[in-house]
Amino acid sequence: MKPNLLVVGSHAPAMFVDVERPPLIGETIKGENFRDQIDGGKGSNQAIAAARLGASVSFIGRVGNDRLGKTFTTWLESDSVDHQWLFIDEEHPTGAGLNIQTDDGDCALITWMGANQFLSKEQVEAAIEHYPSSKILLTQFEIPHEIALFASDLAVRLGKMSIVNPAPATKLDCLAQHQISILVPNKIEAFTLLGLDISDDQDLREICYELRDAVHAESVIITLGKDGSIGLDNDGIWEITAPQVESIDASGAGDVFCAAIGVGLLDGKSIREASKWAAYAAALSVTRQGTIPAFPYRNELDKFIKAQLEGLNV
Amino acid sequence: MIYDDKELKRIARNIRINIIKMTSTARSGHPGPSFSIVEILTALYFWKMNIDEEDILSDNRDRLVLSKGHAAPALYATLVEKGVFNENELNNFRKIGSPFQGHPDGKNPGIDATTGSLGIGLSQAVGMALGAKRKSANLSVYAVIGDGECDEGQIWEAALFANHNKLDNLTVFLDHNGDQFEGRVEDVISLSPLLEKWQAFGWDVYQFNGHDFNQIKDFLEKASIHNGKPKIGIAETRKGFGVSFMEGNHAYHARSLTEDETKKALDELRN
Amino acid sequence: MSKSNTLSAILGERYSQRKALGDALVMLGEENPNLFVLSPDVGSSTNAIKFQTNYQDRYVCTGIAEMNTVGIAAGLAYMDFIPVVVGYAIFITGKAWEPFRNSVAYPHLNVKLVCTHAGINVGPDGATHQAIEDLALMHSIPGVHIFVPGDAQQVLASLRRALSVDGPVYIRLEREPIPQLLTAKPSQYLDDQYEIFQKGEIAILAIGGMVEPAVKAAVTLKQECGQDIRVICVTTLKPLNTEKLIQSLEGVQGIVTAEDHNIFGGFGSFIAETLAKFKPLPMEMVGLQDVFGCSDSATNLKYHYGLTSRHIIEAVQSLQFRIKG
Repeated sequence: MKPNLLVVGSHAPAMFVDVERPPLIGETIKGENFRDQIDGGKGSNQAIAAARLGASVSFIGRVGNDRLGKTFTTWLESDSVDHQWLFIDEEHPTGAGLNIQTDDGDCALITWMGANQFLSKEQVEAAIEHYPSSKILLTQFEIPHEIALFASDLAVRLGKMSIVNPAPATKLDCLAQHQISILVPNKIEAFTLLGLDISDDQDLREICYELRDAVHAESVIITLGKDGSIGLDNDGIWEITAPQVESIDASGAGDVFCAAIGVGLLDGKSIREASKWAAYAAALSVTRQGTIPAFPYRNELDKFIKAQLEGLNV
Repeated sequence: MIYDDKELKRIARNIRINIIKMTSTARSGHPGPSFSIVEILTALYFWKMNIDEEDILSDNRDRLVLSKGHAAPALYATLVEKGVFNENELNNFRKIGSPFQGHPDGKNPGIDATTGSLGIGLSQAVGMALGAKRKSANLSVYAVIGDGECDEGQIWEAALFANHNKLDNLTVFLDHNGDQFEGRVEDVISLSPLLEKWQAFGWDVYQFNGHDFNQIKDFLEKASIHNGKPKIGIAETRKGFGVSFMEGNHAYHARSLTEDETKKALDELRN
Repeated sequence: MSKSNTLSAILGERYSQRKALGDALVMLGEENPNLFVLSPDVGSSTNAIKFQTNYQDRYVCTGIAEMNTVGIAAGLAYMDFIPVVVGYAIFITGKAWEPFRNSVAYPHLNVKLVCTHAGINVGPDGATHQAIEDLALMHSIPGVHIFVPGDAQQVLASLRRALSVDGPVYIRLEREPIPQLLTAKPSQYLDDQYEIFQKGEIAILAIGGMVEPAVKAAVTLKQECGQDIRVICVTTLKPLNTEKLIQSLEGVQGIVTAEDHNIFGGFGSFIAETLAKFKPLPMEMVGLQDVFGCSDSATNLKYHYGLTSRHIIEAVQSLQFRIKG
């Protein structure tokens, strides 16, 4: 099937370590279970998550001519993600990251972007224009944000929907000049984009409105982890509670959510319906250990949703 | 690009050919009333208006509101000639999803306002002219209204407002072809004395042959003087002008040409 | 708690939505440099004229010409202004309905209509000036958002939300001052509905100035009959937040709607249309029973045409009787 969902994003596989709590600056703490894990960085995570949920995906990105880059192509192939637009950089190594996992199942991330930083507008343009029948573009800020926003602009101009996951976020004054169909930050990213200090007093509905105005997106969805999500489109606010599950490992849940929004829209769901569906997908992934290995397949998600709904009717 | 009269006439002929093509393909439309404004639109789009087909949504472009919206085929054919729309769209006139809807649809870049309901266009042109003034934008707003359309009260509301607010960046063509749906204008609702009415409303009024490029250009030059008054040119025209059997023929007000008539008309226009 | 104590916890002082409108426009004019206010000769009554004092360049009095006003608003929208037409409901939505529908709504332009003088609470001016069909007129046009703020403090929030919508919006305001809804304080942006009382098997859904008699009816029924009656102030009529409404109606057996509008094609009608599909329930509709108003004080008219808390109580009891069979 021709790719219907394009991901313009990063590949920066993470190494993992378990800690009781995250370290403070200047501290050395003991970690355990230092390991390579199958976690690609947001771009490749979202591509694989989307593929498992049933989209036909093409990944557009840049890796080094090294072990990590080669391993990546095998990951993509095993989930049938098209990678003809995965550019090989002879000069720069593949990006990478360190993921710190706490006992509570929360995580924090340090990334270094490597070859990802050298993905060019020309490369992105050539790739996107190669798939005129694709409908969704998914991108994040682990590649240079100008490239991500360029991709979003181009996608919208070509009549596609662009989903921008502004992670990691900084305050960007240029956002208003770009075209974004759906902006999906988490709470920290939402506050950061607006240049605000994160606080629990702020009414999230107002944050949604401010963000949608500041960024000129058609819709905004702020993900709130176990508190679900809150969204705003032209018709107003909607709030989604997260399905109640036992959280084993939350790493990658945000990526599953973003990917599932894209796949939901491809299925013809409205953005609100897609958000609900995405909440189930993310919930299922946190009940499982690992990042990419926890990403659900479509049939698994269907079963999970059925069970959840039946559970609610008891 | 500067077009001389010979070029303008050639363009006008192409526009008429395309009006016939699109209405005959759709088997629907108003070829007669579209024909009467061809020279006006040609002069506007190819001689006067500041429009760049490569940058059709530019903020500083001049605007054209076709208030007599049923003449849409004339506008569409002109925009195809100008390169704003592809020639293929002529086959999609009055079809689902086409930018060439039955009456102008302002959602489409290149078409400046939604019209078709007679009487609503001039107000929109007035709003654009007002907006331009308030923004100190140096652009001109043009509108084409029909004579039958002057039966509508909203036209006169707009006329009062434009004068009171000194909208001298607004230039209107009144397509005085003397004919409306149910009969001759003078028999349905007489507008006479027409010039005096517009003068009484405070407009600078001109009258000329609406099919003569020199006279149209002359009017447009006079109209570009900013003297605190909106301008209206009463263009004396004929429905169906340009094809012998269509000229002055009421039959083509709201009916497209038959296959035979189409062939005859195109033959005449091409020679 | 005595009845008056409970009421004073819910219903605050009376404030004029029209006054709040003038202040809101001035505030928003500062925040939004593209805001442009159009007034068809009623600026001193609607308080739109306050905007002119502060932002002369972005204000125009268009005279007694509502159709032209709406057309000019469309033209201004094409020039990247955000036009807000402020007039009387019957003349803007009525006389200018077709130019609005064809120049603004069909091309989905970013024009807002903010209308005062909706309902019979217009009072002495009489029937010609009392808009009792405006919701029907606006609701039936595709793509037009409709907000009905429940009090004066919600007016600013409704305008802010209207400005965040890309497309045509209709906001309906009363002429008479109405009590502040102390437990329905909006954030900066208007919510879709405000739940005032959450418990009970009968729910009263009310809009605008009818929230006050709805609350009074509920409090009376609680005090005098020990009954819990839900009251929801619905502020976003289109798009109706069906999901939220249905959630709020969990456990409800019947609904009374209350509006200062004809019951045909009005708020009750929209609720019935929506719920018929998802949660059909017996209903009673308090409102103008397909009759025109006339001249008198707003208070007298409300008694005469059945828009008081007593009428709502009767509707609740009638519904309860029907449900119990």
